[in-house]
Formats: sequence, structure tokens, C-alpha cells
Amino acid sequence: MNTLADSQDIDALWDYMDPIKSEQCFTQAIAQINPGTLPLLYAELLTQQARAIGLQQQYERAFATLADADALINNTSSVALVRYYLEYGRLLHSSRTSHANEYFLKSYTLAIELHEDFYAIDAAHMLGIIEKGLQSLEWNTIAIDIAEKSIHPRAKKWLGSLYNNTAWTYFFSENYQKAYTIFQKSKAWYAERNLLNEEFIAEWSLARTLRAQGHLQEALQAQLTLLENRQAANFPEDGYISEELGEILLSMGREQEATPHFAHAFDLLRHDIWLQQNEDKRLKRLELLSNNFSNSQEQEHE
Amino acid sequence: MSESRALFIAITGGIGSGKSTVSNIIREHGYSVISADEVARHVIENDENVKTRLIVEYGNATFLPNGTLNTAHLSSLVFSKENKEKIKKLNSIVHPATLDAIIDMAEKLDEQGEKCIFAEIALLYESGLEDAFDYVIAVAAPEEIRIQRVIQRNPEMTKEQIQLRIKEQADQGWVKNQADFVIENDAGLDKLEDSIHFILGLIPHLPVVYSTDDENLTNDDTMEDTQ
Repeated sequence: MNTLADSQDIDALWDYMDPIKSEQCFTQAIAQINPGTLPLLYAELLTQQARAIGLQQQYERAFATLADADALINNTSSVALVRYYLEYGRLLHSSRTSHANEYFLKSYTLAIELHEDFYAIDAAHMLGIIEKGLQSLEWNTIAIDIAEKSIHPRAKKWLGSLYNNTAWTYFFSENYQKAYTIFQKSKAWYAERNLLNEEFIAEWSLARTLRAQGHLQEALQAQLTLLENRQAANFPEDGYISEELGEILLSMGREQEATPHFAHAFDLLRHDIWLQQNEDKRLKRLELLSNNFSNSQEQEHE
Repeated sequence: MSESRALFIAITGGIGSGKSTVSNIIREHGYSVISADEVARHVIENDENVKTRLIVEYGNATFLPNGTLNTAHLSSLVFSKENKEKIKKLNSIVHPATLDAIIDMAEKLDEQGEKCIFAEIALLYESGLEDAFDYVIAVAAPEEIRIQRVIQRNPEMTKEQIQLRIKEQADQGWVKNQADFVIENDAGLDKLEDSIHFILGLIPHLPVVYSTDDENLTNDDTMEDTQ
């Protein structure tokens, strides 16, 4: 039975920012394939259609689509089965249902057996997301190890984001030295590929780690350099840099100098939907620290 | 062909389905598409054995004085009512040599390093040739659209004649169930190009199906299926 050796052309149908459009693309593609002669290819497409449906939070329909895929795969050891487990795990995870890790583990094990590095990394990276603390780090380390050793360029493409995720896991466990080292790897990886935006994000993360380590002067210099580099590259203003400049100066006791940076950060970030939904307290803090600036300005005018 | 040979893919579909449009788009993507019709014509006009058998069966008028095929004469004899046996006879003369020629061409393209070789064959299943290919793409369209297309191309043909041709060919629904990929050519060029683009993206990543042992498949074997 046939399956794809490399599914990147199935994945070319994806627009992760638009799951409705992606679902339509998969529906059209599925209509072109005969499940009688190419059951695994058909099933593989169904797994991605299910993911697109899941991203629309229509979990019941997504699970039903995966059930259709399961019937076609019939437990055949294949990329289709790897992707079935992966998407089943993702659906369980995003629908807040337990046992997602069991499916990611099945996907990981089978992908390793089939030498499908890209999916092994995907599964390990998902395990890194859902597991906590040391276990999370272990899975991220496994994912990095596979990506670094892989001969498949597509598998290697994971490395930048894996370094970033792992570094943040170390950061949040307060292992700043390790976080710094891995953020450096992330920066170098993106720089080699001329991915400037991602490189700037890595630079910001390095500077943020310096602040966490108490190296305030170096952190300040790093953020100012980043600011200059972004301006030189004609990148738009970044509220997160302004926020960091404010925080560093505040930590240095230079409150008056910090306040305009907080005000600028609040101005740039107040409409950020992700922050509104996930970091409400952070936005409120920025607003509060911005007001200090406004108040002090008002006082000066008086 | 070597084990790491090119994929060999058939494009099939009934009269007016748009096989040739699909083939042309595939050519535009840089792939070689062998036209079985052209190969068959070349075989008929150049293979002495085939020519002789055709003259014996259909008379001297089968070929024009300049040596080219007298299509009108042959069609009038073969594509008439109660013609199934006549079509089978014609196929039994032409198909084996045509398949040999197609395989020769495919092997040459394979040796030149082509990764996917396509062949447009209208009567793929009717000729029992499907097993010679790794994958089959069926091009399909509703009957009314097919009839309109054929009339546009051949204004001398009547609707009834086209319907008769359609009836003589394998049922489109059945073909769609046999093929690996189906292209519904019923909604304009943009959609058609999208469908082809998707399939062309997948095909290079698919494994070779037809094993090297199957290369011993003889033309006699293939023809037996149809007779």
C-alpha cells in the first residue's frame, strides 16, 4: 500500500492562519484521491483535514474525520498512522481531554521506527509542551537531538523553534545560564538562514535573560543595540523592547527614565489581542507605570 | 528500467473529458507526456507488420496514397453500430505494438533521468494496459460537457455519434473507481490547474508500484484481457 515518503506537499495545502480555507483545500484534495487504491494517502489527508477542523474548535467533527482515517489505515504501520496518532493527541490536548500524551508517545515511537524524523520531532515537541518541568525539558532535548542529527532538511527546520522553546523552559525553571546558551544557539541558527525577525526575537530573549541574571547594564546595552538594529533594518517599532527598556531602567532605580518607555510600550501593545487575552495583568502593569510618566509630565506642566 | 526508475503514470478519460488539456498543463510543468494516440498513429503508418494486418482486415483504402492513415475509412468501418468485435479486432492489431513503442519511449526518458513520465491513453482500461503503470489519473466531466467539447472540436460529429462513442468506452464512474487520482474537469481552467498542481506535488513523493518482475508482461498478455 502506498503512502507518502515525504508529506511536504500535503502540508503545502496548509494555511495555519486560516483553518477554514485549509479545510476546504483538504476537502478538494481528498476528492481527487481514490481511497480504494490509495487508502493511506487518503487517510493522511483526512488527518490534516481533521486538524484543520479541530483548529476551528469543532472537535466532534474533527474526531469523526479521524475515525474515518483510522478505518482506512487499519493499523498499518505508516506515516498515515504516525499522523493519525499525532492529530488525535493534538485534538485531545486542544479539547482539554486527557491522555493526549499517550497518543503523542505512540506517534513518536512509530515515527522513530519508520525513520520519519520530522514527525518524531513534532511528537516530541508536543510532549515537551504538555509535560512539565524536567520531563518537558527531556522531550525538548530529544527533539533537538533528532533534528540536529537528521539528514532531512525538513526535520532540521524544527531546530530554531525547538531551541527557542527549550531555552524558555530553562528560563522559567530559573536556569538562566543554560537558557542563555540555548538562546545563543537559536540566534545563530536563525542568523545562518537570514531569518531576521526570528533572529531579533532571539536577541530580545538573550537580553531578557541578562536582566533575569541581574546583568542590568549588559541587558540595557543589548536592548538598545537591538532597537538600533531593528531601525536600521526598517522593522516596525516593537513594544516588547520598550517594555524591557522600562523594566531594566526601573530595576536600575532610574524610574523617571523608565516611565516613558513603559508609556511607549503600553501605546504599542495595548491593542495586542494575544496580550489582552493572556497577559491582562502585564498590560495593566504597563498602563500603571505609564501613568506615572503622564502624572509626572502633568506635574512638570503645573 | 532500473529499480530506481521513473514513475510511470497514465492519464486516461473518455472522449471530451479533457485529457489532452490535462496533458498539456502537465507538459507546461516540465514533464514528458507520451500521447498514445500519436504513438498509435506512428505505429500504424510505420510498422510494416501492423500496416499489412490492417490492409488485410480493412482493405487497401485503409491508407491514403501518400501512406497516411485514412481515418475516415477506418472510422466508418469500425465505429458503426454493433461494432464491438470490430473495435476489438482493431485494438488487437494496433495495441501491442503501440504499448511496445510507449514502453520504449518511457525507458529512453527514464535513462535520460526523468523522474515522472506520463502517458495519455484514452482506452487504458479497455486495453488492459493499466497494470503497466504505477499510478493512473482519470480525467472526468459530466456527459453534457463532454458532448459540447467534442462538438466544438469536431463540428461534423452529431450528438448521437458522440453518445455512441461514449457508450463504447468504459463507464466513467467505473473508471473513477479504478484510478488512483481523479481530476474533475468541470469548472474552468483555474480549478483544473489547481487539481493538477496538487497531484503533481504528490506524485514525485509516491513510491514506485510496478515491480521489475512485471516488466516481463507481454503485449499478448495485455491483449488477452480485452478479448
